[in-house]
Amino acid sequence: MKKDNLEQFVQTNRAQFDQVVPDAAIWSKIEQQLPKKEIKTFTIRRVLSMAASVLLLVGIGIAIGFQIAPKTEVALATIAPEYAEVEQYYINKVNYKLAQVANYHGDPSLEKDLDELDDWLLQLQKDLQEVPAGKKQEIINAIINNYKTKLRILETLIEHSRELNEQSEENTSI
Amino acid sequence: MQPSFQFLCLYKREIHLTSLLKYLDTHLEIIEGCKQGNRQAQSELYHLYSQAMYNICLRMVKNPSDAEDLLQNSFVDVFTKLHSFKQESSIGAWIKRVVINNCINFLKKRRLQFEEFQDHYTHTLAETIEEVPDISLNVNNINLAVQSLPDGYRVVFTLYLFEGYDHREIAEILNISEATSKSQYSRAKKKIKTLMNGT
Repeated sequence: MKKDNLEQFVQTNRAQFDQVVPDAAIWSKIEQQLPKKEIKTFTIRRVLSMAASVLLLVGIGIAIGFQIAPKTEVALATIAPEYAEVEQYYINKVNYKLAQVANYHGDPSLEKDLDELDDWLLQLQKDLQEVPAGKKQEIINAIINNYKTKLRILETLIEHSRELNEQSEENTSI
Repeated sequence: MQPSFQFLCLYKREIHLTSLLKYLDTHLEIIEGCKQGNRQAQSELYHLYSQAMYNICLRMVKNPSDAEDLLQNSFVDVFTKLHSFKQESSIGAWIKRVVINNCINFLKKRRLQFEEFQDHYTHTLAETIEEVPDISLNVNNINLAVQSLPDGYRVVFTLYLFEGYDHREIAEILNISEATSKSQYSRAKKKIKTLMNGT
């Protein structure tokens, strides 16, 4: 439904409706009602024992890594068919947005992040095969988050390229 | 054998996660700190959202003193319940729901004119074509007009236009039908326009 001028005004000036500042004393009142003790998860002892475990596992992991043949990319759909539709939706959306930024090579750090995400996705798909049934849901959620993050980055890229186009249009018009 | 290789990959993934999640605006570190009871993190989270949430309370309950109490109690709720927050929405949206639910419970306890929701006329009103004269359109006038609405109209109106919920969500929050939400909004808007047109 088309917005009338009242609705449009509110939406355009939304920030102006949040100008009242709450009393500074409120935070101390809140603070008093919160538990005083902090749960410390990082004592020196814990950090050292974690470091030791990590080093041990890194060693084992490397050894095992050499023995595991690289697996080809496995589609989410073959492991969890009910997610086939969801995966297809995201793949389509990602490809569409990739096409939109195909001509734009702007921010190298954003592109690096995209590459990292691709690596991560491959790893997740590998994990999905190996993981016991109980853990599969976690992996699936992580895969979906991966797609979402990818979309976010692509949207940022599209926004940048759009801004640049507008700027260059402004510069060329009289 | 498998699990250790997995652990290695999960560990590596943690690093990816924290650096890339900046795109998802999750305030991940602050939330983790809050969950552990870190006062600094809690203060940060409060100050990130306190002003916006306070203004929501003001719109909903009008009285500044009541709004302050609601702000205070809501954030105590937020920090106590934070362990149940699982990133299914953004932290801001989650906090907003806590605040709004508290405001509504407060209004219900006062039993002021929430009877409006017993709505016998569920057909949507024909949209009034009249618009508010541009000269009347300013923040102050609109606030005054909204404040003068009865509770039921004011709540639906602010949830829709100011807080950005759709009628389906408002229906769920207030436990009314979607049609009722739409008609309440229509009526509220009509009343506001009447007030602002000075008729």
